[in-house]
Amino acid sequence: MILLAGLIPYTVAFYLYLYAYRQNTINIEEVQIHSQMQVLTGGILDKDYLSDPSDTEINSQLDTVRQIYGGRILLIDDNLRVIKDTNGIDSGRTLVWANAIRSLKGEALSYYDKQNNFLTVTLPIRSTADDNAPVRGVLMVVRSMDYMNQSLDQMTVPGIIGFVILGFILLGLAAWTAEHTIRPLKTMEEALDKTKNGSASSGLKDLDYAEAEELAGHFNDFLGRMQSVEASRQEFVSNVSHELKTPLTSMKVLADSINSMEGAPLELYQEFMQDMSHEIDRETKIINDLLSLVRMNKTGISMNIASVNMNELIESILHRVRPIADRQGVELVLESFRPVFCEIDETKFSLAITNLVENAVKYNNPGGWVHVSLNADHQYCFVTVEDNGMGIPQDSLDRIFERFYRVDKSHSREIGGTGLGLAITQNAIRMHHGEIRVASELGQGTTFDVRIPLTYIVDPEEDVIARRADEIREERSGE
Amino acid sequence: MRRSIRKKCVSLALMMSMVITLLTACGGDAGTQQIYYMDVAGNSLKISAYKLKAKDTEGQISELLTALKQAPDTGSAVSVMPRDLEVISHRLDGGHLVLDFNTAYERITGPNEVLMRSAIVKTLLQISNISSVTFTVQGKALTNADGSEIGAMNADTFMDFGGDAEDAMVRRTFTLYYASKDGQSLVREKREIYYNSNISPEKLVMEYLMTSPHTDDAISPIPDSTKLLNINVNRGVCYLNLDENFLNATDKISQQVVIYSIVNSLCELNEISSVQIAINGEMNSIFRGDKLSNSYTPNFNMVTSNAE
Repeated sequence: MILLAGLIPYTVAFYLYLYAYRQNTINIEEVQIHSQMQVLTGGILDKDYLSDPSDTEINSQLDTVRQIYGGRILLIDDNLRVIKDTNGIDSGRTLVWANAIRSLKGEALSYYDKQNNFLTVTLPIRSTADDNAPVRGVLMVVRSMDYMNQSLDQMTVPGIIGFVILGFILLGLAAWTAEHTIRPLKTMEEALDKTKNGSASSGLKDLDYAEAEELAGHFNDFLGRMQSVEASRQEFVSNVSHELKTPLTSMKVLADSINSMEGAPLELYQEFMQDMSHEIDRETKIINDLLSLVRMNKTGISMNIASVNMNELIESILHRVRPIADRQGVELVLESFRPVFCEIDETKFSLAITNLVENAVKYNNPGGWVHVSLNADHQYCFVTVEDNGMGIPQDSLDRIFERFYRVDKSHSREIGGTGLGLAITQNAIRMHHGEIRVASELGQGTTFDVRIPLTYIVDPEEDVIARRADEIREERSGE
Repeated sequence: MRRSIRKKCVSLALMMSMVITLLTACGGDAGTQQIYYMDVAGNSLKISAYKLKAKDTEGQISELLTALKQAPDTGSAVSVMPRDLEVISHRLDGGHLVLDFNTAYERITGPNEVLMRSAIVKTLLQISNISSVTFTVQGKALTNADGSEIGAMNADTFMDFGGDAEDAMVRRTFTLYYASKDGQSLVREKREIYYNSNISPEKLVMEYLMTSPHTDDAISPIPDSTKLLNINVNRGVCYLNLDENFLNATDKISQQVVIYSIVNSLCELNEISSVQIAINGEMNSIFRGDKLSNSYTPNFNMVTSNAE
């Protein structure tokens, strides 16, 4: 393609150039002959050559000119009879030719015979002294333009050489471009194939083209994300099975131990049953949390957006958590700087804040406090949950939002919970296109900052992902 | 995709068949004649096809004369004969036709008269029994400006110019000398050549010597790549200028044969009695070890065979 794109304009330009050269040469020749022949016409008139073409001087002049022009000269009288023909053939005949007739009427003309390569110039023979002098005859000069062909031939050779050189350059360029654009694409194709088939791929590297590098960068990011998604999926599965098994294991231990006991008293059975009941509750809670988390992860879940009075919402949350706080001896306070209305999904957002507040109460000491503050500017709504509880060690701060992550596993078991709370919270905040941040110091306390946009903007990309997810689900159900 | 290409082929085929039919329709079967008209500006002749209905000569003459007076179908031409011009009578005498015009003829002069005259003569010469046409005005012979009679006009009287126009061509027989197959002698060949009258005979001779002869067992003595730079005749001497490729003549053809094939052929022309050969404008160049002489005259001893 590049080859054609380069060679076609070159060829066109070349032929145009040759054409222009030919036209130009012909024009110059016309003008030259016109001016040179004026000299002859004077003599022809003076010697009245048209009536008597025997004058030797004129004849030798005509012959010389003919030789130089490599052509032929004809002299026509005002009856269109050929008085003189240097070729000898046509003397005495009558010339019926448009250019001769027009020249007889006063025009100086030229005619280029491309086939035989002759330029024929016809000039009226008239006295220059008098403007109204009648035209006495026509001087016809036939000039061979072979010399022009020789020039054109010589010019064609460099033209062809240029064409070939250009062809090679373009070929080289085309090959180089193909190499550099196609090679990275091919490598990407291969890597994509590998990833699609599930085999690990190390990503693209070492591409020497800037654009390809960008593309490769994006591809590598995408690949990395896919791989981490895969990894986290696996991790999630193993976490889930572990967490689900734990209460079951406890239940099994309890059941086995009481079964192996002979003559156990009724009270012991009752106690064991109560413990079993607790474990089942725990298991149920884990399953519920998991389900809500999974449901939230399921892209395409519908958000029930409405404008909600944030003050009322948080007050009701605190109201629900207060009994637990009272039992723990933790003070629960709401600080609101102004009335705030925000477009949120009430259920999900409540869940998120409830988790934060519950955590703040649970991981606290008796006599401690939990401050919840609500504020807003023209763009965002800010909710802060601050406590002076046990805090989170620095190296764990990054991981607290991970599913099932516990800072101190043994201690957390006592406190209760599933380890999914913060994961659920973060997910819910994300779905509102908000942000959650945490700051903490071990032994001092923890602060969670939540920021969500006042108006909920639908992200079209989420829509696309949602629709695609629906399609996949349909296909799977069809299989 | 396939269907559209098919469609294209079909329409192309249709178009071509239409063109072919048109061409064959226009091409004219044997027996269509032409009427000569004049362009509106009065500068050239235009042709319109015409089919003769009459079968006898008299009928044909009348028919053509009538057609000449009428306006043609095409818009860009007019009849060559003004309305007041009439052919009073005509007489056919063994192939010579004499047309007698009324005095309106005298009012037509200059190029218009020549155009008209040539149109009428050319039109009538198409009738097979007519070989010449003479004009008279009220019985008096038509004369030129200098008083000489124009006389009988035939197919040779008028000439055209430029390109392949029939009247611009010349048919002439040339005698050419080619090299024999073994390269040691000359073969004479007579050729009838039909060529544009602007080309000089000596140039034509050289051009034909550079191509293959019609005779079997004869070859062109001049190397293929040779270029004829120029050729001039002055006072019987032909000055020939060739480029350096001429020096590459194959050894198979003897030096003498090469030189005299050219010289003999050129000297067959009336105007030429001797030849001078230059290479790239330089005289006395070395050709096959010997200097080229200043002038060569023909040598017919080397001719061994004649081909007609």
